[in-house]
Formats: sequence, C-alpha cells, structure tokens
Amino acid sequence: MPRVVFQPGSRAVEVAAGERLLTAAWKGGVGIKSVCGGRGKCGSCLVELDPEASAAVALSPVCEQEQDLLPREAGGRTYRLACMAHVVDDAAIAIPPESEAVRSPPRKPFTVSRVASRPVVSRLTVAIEPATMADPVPLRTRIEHAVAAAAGRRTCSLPIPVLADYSREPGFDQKREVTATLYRGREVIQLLPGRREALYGMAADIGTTSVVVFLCDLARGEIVSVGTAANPQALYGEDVISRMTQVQREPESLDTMQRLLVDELNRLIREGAESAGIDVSDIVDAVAVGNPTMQHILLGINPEPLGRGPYLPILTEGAVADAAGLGLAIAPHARVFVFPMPSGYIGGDTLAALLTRGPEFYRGSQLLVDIGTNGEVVLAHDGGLAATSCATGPVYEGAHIRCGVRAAPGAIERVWVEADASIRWSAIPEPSGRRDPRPVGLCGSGVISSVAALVDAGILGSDGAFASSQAHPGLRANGSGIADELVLVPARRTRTGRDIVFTQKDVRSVQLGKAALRAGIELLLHKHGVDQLDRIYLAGTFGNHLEPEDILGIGLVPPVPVSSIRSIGNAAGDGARMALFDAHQRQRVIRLARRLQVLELSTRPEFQDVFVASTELSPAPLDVESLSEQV
Amino acid sequence: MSDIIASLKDLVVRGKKNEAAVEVKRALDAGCDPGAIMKDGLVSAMSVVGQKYSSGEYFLPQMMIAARAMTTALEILKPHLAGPAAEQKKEKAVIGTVSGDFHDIGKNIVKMMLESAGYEVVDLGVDVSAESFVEAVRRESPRFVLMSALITLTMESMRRTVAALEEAGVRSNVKIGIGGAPVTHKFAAEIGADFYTEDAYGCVETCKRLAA
Repeated sequence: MPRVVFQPGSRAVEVAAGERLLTAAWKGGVGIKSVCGGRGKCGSCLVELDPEASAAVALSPVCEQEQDLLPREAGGRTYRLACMAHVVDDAAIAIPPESEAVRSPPRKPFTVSRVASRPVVSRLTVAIEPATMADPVPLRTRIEHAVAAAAGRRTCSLPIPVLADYSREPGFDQKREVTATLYRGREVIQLLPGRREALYGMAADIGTTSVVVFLCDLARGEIVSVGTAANPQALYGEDVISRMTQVQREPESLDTMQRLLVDELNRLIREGAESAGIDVSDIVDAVAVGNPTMQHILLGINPEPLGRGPYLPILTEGAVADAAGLGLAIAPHARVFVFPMPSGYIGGDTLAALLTRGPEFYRGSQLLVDIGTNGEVVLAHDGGLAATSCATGPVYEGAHIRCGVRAAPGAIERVWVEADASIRWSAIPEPSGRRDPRPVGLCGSGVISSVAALVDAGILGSDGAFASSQAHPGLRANGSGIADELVLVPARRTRTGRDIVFTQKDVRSVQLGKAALRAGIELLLHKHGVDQLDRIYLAGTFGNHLEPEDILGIGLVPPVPVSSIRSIGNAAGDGARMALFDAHQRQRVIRLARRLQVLELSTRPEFQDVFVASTELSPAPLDVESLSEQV
Repeated sequence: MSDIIASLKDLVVRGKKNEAAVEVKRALDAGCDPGAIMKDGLVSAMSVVGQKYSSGEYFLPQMMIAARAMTTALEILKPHLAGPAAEQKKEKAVIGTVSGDFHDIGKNIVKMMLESAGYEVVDLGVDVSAESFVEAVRRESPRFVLMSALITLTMESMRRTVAALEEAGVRSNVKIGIGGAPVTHKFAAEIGADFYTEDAYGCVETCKRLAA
C-alpha cells in the first residue's frame, strides 16, 4: 500500500492506492483545511508535493477543475489540492500553514461576571440508619426517606440507574453517610458515599469551528476553568452544510461526528477539572448551546433535514439529556440542558446571546447580530422579538477569498491605506507575543478591513469594481486591461513566498456575504416597521474583531452612530453560563424561544431586489427604489 | 446606421434605460432593420454584460440595470419585429430551482440572460419537484431543461430529476444543464446531465452551441 508522509510532523499514513489525499489525511488524523468539504470548489486544501521524497508518479494527474484552483505562479513548486489528488504511490506532502486545519484554538474572549447562583442541582448529605433484622427496610427506601426528610419533602425519587451505580461502591450498604445530588430538589441523580459539598457544572458553547467548555462552581457563581479547542468535526468540512452532506453521503458518520465532538468536550472537561483541582464526579449539571446543526449532532439526531426547505429542526424545544447517554464524562446521570432551537438556523447559540441582554434591550428598537458563516439577527421592537438568519457564507471566516486564512497567528486582521497610498496592515501575533513580520494571508476581519480601506481610498468603487489599473501601483490588470487584483503584500514579505493579493472575485464574495446579512436585516426591519435602530449589538468572535467604522463604512449594517454599535464578545458562552448558574434562566430562554417570530427570507418576493441593492459598499441607507428607477 | 445601433448597445451595457429608449426610436426612425437592432444592439449588448459579469467587472446591480434597459428598449422594438424574424420559432428552455431549494437569484439571472439571447424560457420557480419538471417537459416540449441548486444537500434533487425524466421516457428529447455554487462538472457527468456551467453567461453560450 502506498505510504503518505505529511509534513510538518512527519505523520505517515498507509492507504489503498486511489484514495484521495484528503481522505488519507483524515485517516491519519492529519488536519487539512477543507472549506467546501472536499468538493474541489474552494482551493483551501492546497498542499505541496515534495518530488524528491516521493515516487515518480505519486499522485493522479491534475484535472481541469483542479488546475483552475491552483496558484497561478507556482514558482517551480508542485502544488496540489488534497481533495482532488488521488494517491498512486508513496508521496511526501507538505501542508503549508494556511492550509492547516485549526489546531490552535481560535480566539474566543469571554466576559467574567459574578452572578447570582440558583442552580438546578443541590447536594444533601444524609445519615443512613443501618438495616437490622428487627427493622428490615430496604436500602433504597431508607435513602429515599432520609433524602426526602432532609429536603423537607414528603417523597423524592431515586431512579434505578442511580442506585445501580451507587451499588458499585465498595461497602455501599454499610455506609452511614451518603451525599445525594438532587435535580430540581426532588430527583436523585447521584449518590456518593460520605460528605461531598462541592457543586460544579459545565457549560459548553459548541460552534461549527470551535468549542468552549466552562467549568463553574455553582455554589459560588464563579468560573473555575475555561478550555477552548477546534471542533474536530472540521475534518468533514468547515460549515454546517458540509457536515450535513457528510451524513447524507455516509450515514454512519453521524456517530463518528457525535463521538469526535464529545471526546473533545471530555478532553476539555478533564483538563479543566485537573487544572482547577476538582473531581469530575462533582460536575453534576450541564448546559450546551450551539447552532441547530451542532445541537442535533450532540444529541445524536440526524441534522440532514436542516439543509433542505422548509429548514425545520427535528425538535424546536430545548432538550434534557442524560450525560452518560451523550457520552459526556461528568456525573453519569447529570442532566444536560440543550437550548431550544426555534428554526433550522436560529439555535441555542443565538438564544444564549439574547439571554445576556437585560431589560434595556427591549426599549426602542435594538438589534443583536451574530456574524459567522451564517448570520443571525434578532430584533427587539415594541415589546416584540423577531429573528432571521442569513446565509452569509464563509467569507467572514476568510474562506472563498484567494489569500484567505483563518484567524490565527500570522493572519492579517487590519488593513489601512496611508495618505501616500501605501498599504499597511497588522497581523495576529504569535501566542508568544512575538510578531513574525511576514503574514500568511487575510482572516475575516482583515478581509472586511481591506474592503473598507480600499473603498475609502477610492481604489475600490462603492459598486465593488476596482478603479482603473493606474489608480494604484499595487493594482494588476487582466488580459483586457481591467484591474482585477491588488497586491497587498508582495511575495518577498510573506511567509508563504507568494503575493498576498485581494482580487476582484474576492470583493464580489464579500459583497455577496455582506448583501445577505444586510438584506436580512432590512427585510426584518421592514416587516416590523422599524426605520431607525437605537443600538446594534455584535456577538460572536468575528463581531468582536471588527471595527464599527469598517462595518458602517461598507454598509454591513444600516446606518447608526458609531457609538451605537457595541461588541458583546462571545455572548453565546455567557448566556450558556447564565443558564447553568440559574434555573430561572432556563425558563426564561424557553419563553424567549416561544416569543421569537422567525422570518424566513428565501420565500420573500422582495428579497432579490433588496439583496441586489445591498451589494453596494456604502454607508448610506439602502436605496432599493433607485435600482428600478435607474436611468 | 450602424453607429446608432452601436450607441444603443453601449447604452444598454451601461444600463441607461431612458437613453436606450430614445436611441432605439432613433434607430427605427433612421430606417435601421429591426432584426439588426435586436441582434447587434440588444442581444449583443447582453452578451457583453454577461462577459463583464463573468470576469467580475460587473456585479448583480449592473447586470440587473442593464437587463432593465434592454427590456425597455425591447418593448419599443417588439411591434416592429413582425415578419420572418419574429415568426422564427424560438428555442425553448424550462428552468427551475430543484426540490428543497428556495434560492432563485442565480436561476433568475440565467433566465434573464437566456431571454435576452432570444430564448423562450418557462420558469417553474423554486422548490420544483422532479414530477413538475417531467410534466413541464411533456407540456412544453423544450429543447433545454435547466436546474439550479445552491445547497450541497439539494444537489441530490438534480439526480432524482434526471432519473425521473429518464423514467418518463422524455430524457432524450432534451439537453439538461445544471448550475449553482456547489455544483461541478464532475457532478453533472455523474448524474447524467448534459452540461454544467459556472455562470449564466456560460450557460447561454453552451445552449447556443448545443442548439446550433
């Protein structure tokens, strides 16, 4: 069998001849970025073949589709797309930094706030009278009586699985002191010998790209550890659609993806528990939020129907699942509260972000926007709550952009044009704080920042077309003399040894993503008769790294004063923790989910006109009329 | 006379609706052949627009605006198009976004481009079932069946539609073209469609080639 060695790391994989290079990488646990899910559409899985260390014919020949996506100037190197190249014989493959699937967790800040803690779980340590021949009361009954008495109730329930687990404790029937963990004050979900006072919970924010696990002290209302990791399902593609497609193609991969996710959560739980010095058996409650696809997969439910009209989740209300049933390595019978998901694209993450907004959100007209591969928009107006989701596409994650990369060290995150027309930029620093002066590519915020800066400098028109090729020395013209790309950083100053360019097609991708979000916002506002917004909150990693001036400059959102735009960080994680700390918040989120009126954009007849008008890169109010009146 | 037609073409390309209307009248008054106005003025303008869209120089708004200018000019031209040019049977295409998919912008652009290239287009709308495609083929006897899908998952509906056309025994009467962001040449070959094109301009060019 051919042997493929991947660099960096010299990871070797043996695969059958004819296997795709990307599949070979998956099998060897080697992460190669694959934005389109291995369909030969995006070019993100670009790798380099080392002919010296490979067999003469190591890979299948390049087909036309692949050729179109390979770099124009290869500089004598052999580049291939891992999803299009099939392994023929032994090969040595180098994965350039911009093609590596995220291993270092993306940046996700969180807000630390001490909150009132009214957890849904409680612990009681009770004394158990020994059974005697004279008084032969079975152990279950004795425990139930003791717990009920201590809880001030007439009865409580002690389910068999909990009792069965307890019976595995050595000498369990002789213990005089037992700690019972109660769910909602009446159901025993865990029995442990002796006195146990610590009460911990876990909140998971499961994103398509990354996952965050918070371990919290429920008694004190404090976070004790935070762990972040890349979502390992990224092997199967970077967006929710590719995950759904994978399940459609290969039904058993639903289990694989569920397990990959849970294993990663468990790793974060274990590491967090270790660093905080807590015992995982003291983690007795959990909350999980994510987009509907992630929540479906976590629950082991096939997410495939979410990808097709009418885009309905299998269940819209929240779910309460057993930790052990999901495979989570916390107290086995801890209940996992999974947030409601009102529609196929408005999920627990959006509701969690909404949960963080207090009463002030409901005064006037306010908007909550979470920008990612999918954009979610929630409008509070006149006491009503309405939401919509917009297929913004992966452009905000730096995908479908020629030199797009993920937000990781070396990625350009801001671009500006000096008065002398020179183009300047700044990149995300290395974790060590050292700044490699050579960038890798543009991440999502770098993309938006570029567009805003170029429009501002007149290098790009508000219609998104490059100015004439003489307008800037960095502009390059195509065969017909029309400028179709701009060199942001020349090859000699990049880490990849290739120019970092911003192309006309990149601008068009940004416009499509931008128009999808703006059109969604406009239709939502129009439906609810809102002319002017009082405030716009930006949630999510991406929203956090955008400058309000850039957002307004290209008209990603309707015009408001700069000071009316607020970033609220990883609000989904914050909301998940609120529901972990406070039982009332779970009721509140269920009520919010019921109040939310979801607007489905794809069936609106006016969508097309609004969408087209929204492609304009301008801070002005949207002018849909002008489109039809244009002379 | 060809100057007027060239100027009309330029106005349509630039989306100048009112000026194009004036220019088409001027061309008619000057005695230009209506067929030539149509072919060298309007159809060729939209072909330029299509090319500009393909290269990224034009985007959706410029394309829509140009199409509106074209339609305005065409309305004025139509009554004069009597005679052999108008009688000539138009090639017909049935178009729709496949079952489970509600995206229609891409499909509408293809429709518009085809119409401006002189095709008769029957638009079945969005979320079109395989059965509806079969029914439309029986009813309309088109030369082309064009399907759009914007979600990887709904691409499967294209496969089902091709199979249904096959089963209904009408497959060989039509050329099947597919398109949409996730679609590829390879997929077209795999499901037995006749062609895939990356954009609307390519679709029109391919239809012209296949109809020739």
